[in-house]
Amino acid sequence: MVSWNTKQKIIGFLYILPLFIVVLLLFLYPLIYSVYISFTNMAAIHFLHFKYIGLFNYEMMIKDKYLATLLINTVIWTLGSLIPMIALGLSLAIILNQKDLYGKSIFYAILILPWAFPGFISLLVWQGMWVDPYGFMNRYLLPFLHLPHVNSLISVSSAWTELIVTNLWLSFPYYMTVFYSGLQSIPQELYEIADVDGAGPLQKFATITFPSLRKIIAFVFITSFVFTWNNFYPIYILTGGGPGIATETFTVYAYQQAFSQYNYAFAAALSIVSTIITVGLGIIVLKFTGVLENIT
Amino acid sequence: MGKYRSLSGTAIAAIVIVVVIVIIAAGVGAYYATRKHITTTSTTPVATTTSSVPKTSTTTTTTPPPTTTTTTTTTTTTTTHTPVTITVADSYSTSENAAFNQTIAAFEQQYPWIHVNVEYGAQDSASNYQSEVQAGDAPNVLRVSSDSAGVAFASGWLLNLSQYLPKSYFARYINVTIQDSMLNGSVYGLPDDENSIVMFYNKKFVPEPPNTTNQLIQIAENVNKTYHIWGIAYGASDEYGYRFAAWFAGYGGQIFTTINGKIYPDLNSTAMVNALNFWYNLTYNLKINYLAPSPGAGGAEGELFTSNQTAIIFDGPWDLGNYFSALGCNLGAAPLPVVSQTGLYATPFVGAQDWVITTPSASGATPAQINASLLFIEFVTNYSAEMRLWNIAGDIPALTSAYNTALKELSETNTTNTTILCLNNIKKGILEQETHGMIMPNIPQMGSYWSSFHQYASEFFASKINATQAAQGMEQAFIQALQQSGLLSPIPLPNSLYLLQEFSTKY
Repeated sequence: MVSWNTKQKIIGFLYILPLFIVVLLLFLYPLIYSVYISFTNMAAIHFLHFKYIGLFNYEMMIKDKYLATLLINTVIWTLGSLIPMIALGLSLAIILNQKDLYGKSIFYAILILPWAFPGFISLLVWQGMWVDPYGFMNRYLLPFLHLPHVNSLISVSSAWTELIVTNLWLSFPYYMTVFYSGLQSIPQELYEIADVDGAGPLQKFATITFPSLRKIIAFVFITSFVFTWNNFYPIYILTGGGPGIATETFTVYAYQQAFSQYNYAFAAALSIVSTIITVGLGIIVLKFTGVLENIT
Repeated sequence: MGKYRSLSGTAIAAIVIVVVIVIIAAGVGAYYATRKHITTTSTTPVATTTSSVPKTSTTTTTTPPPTTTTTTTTTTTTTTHTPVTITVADSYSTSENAAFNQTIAAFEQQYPWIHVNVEYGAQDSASNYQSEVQAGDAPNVLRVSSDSAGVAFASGWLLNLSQYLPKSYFARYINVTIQDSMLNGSVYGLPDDENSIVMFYNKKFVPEPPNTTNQLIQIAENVNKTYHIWGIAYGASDEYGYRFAAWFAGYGGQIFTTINGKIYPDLNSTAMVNALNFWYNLTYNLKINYLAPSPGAGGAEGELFTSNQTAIIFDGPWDLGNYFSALGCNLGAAPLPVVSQTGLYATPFVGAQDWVITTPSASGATPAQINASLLFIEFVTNYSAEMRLWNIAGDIPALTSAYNTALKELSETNTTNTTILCLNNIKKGILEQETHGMIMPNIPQMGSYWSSFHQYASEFFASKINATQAAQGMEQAFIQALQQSGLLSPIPLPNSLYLLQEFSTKY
């Protein structure tokens, strides 16, 4: 006779089984397979018949003279993109959240327009816009603003400018939308009481808006940090990691190792290390901000 | 008993979902198990001979080879064949497909029991099929570049055609193309064209093409001063070393060398330093070359060329259609010039597009499909097929007989049609370039060349390092990449590697 508790456990297990199967197939299998091949010599000439070689790929990675540069570049890319994206997204959300703003829907529709285009196509358009001296940016906009030309082929700072500005354009609607919805959840009464107390806009932002959004900002920061860390297309399309490897990140380097140099095992090892770094940083940020405390 | 509850509707739904998933998974598993079973056990030939009546026939083609009238004696047998379907990944362009579709129709007419399932718009690099290969579900036949096919062959998922076709069969192709479809003496692909970059020039600004680099500079400076446009558009910093290899060779360099049977990169040389400095000088000091961010007809180089903003570019015949439709008879094509400093031609890589067959383990092919695939790749690289590609798309034939016909057509065309005459002159220039090329290395080690070159060339053209540092850096990066992928070990050199030189005597 099966006890009631056992039966309940079986039923409970059946409930989560479909999700477990999906997670296993879609998430865990690729991860486990990547870990597995990172310990093999899977490469061009050992594509079908590869063997276990222990930590060789990880040793090669440590010996790789580009490792430090790749790490620094990845941090520059991630934080360099995230900070302006969050700042712009939050600023626009605050503007949109003004009660007395007319045509709010129209502004919002215009501002989320970059989302309407497929990212890959947008990047190709931006690639053309940055061509020096023929593209829109170097031909019209930058001279109009009295700013110097930007050419990623001849300058590292230009390359970073191209990447971060383009990524900002591609991503700010997401941040704006998330913060806008967060702002709308703040009780209006708080602002009204603050008005009665004679608080100014900055004071209201510092004492009401920002504390109320703290967890949303932390959540957005963590998820976007991981996404941007692994974001591949902007760099691959706009600069290809150049000049040299000046804008090359872990992910772009891993891609080139796999698909240009057919060194799949080494690329897998790079990906695993990259994953460990992002998971580690994620845990630290989660603990620091306590963003998951309210999620039960 | 009161505490026992019956299963809720949700629980029943969850169980049903799980059961359905299990059934689907079992079904898929059973399907693949059956496929594997067929693959490994079916070894019986599919053709069943019902009669054997020897017959002599005269094969007449619409455009026969010019040198001989071919009268072939064949033994035809009336046979019954089991229908077979093969999957073919087609990497042709739109204009090439116009020719290819005719070839497919002819093939299915000749072999009615073989159905060809064509996957249009496929990639021409073998590396794009690796996931399908791992899953054992790759197309039976691919059309890919000879160098990427070389890597695939070394990986073990392309058929060794030398085991199926006699050595004499391969002799019908132009030597350079078959050499580039061969690794360690084994042929892995049948070529349907021969390709390399060429110098395209706009006759509006450059009436006669330069023969030497000194003339190139002189012409480009003149164009720059007279018309206020770029003399040349060549994005040396954006490329991965495919085109730059021509200039490197022109300065006397070679990509690989061998030391005690081991392959070593040979990029750290005076030739590399000189070649880099040559283009740096044209770009930054003389300001006659535009360091374009993207090559080809769809890139900045092509855009400038077709809009009369630059006089000279270096690109392949695959973009001829775009340039000719934009410039018409103003378009000219000529070989890359001789490097004045060395007296050597700037010799671009010459490669081929190969038809290859994936192994049964990579595609799940049955013996019947392998047989059909062999018939197919022979057919699409025969005289008629390659002449169709030449006539319709301008692809340079890899088959010697078709190549000779193409040459003869160009010199003997009796027409007053200006367009045809102009196009023929351009094609002559392209064919002339083919005689000043070097075989594109197709060994797996070559995969590490591209990014090593790109990394340091782009740093050099961004003025971060000098040419000597760039040459040293790219060689060190090349060696590191080979070490990481385990390719800096004694792997026997394929024949083609020894032919890294001009092959003007190829016929």
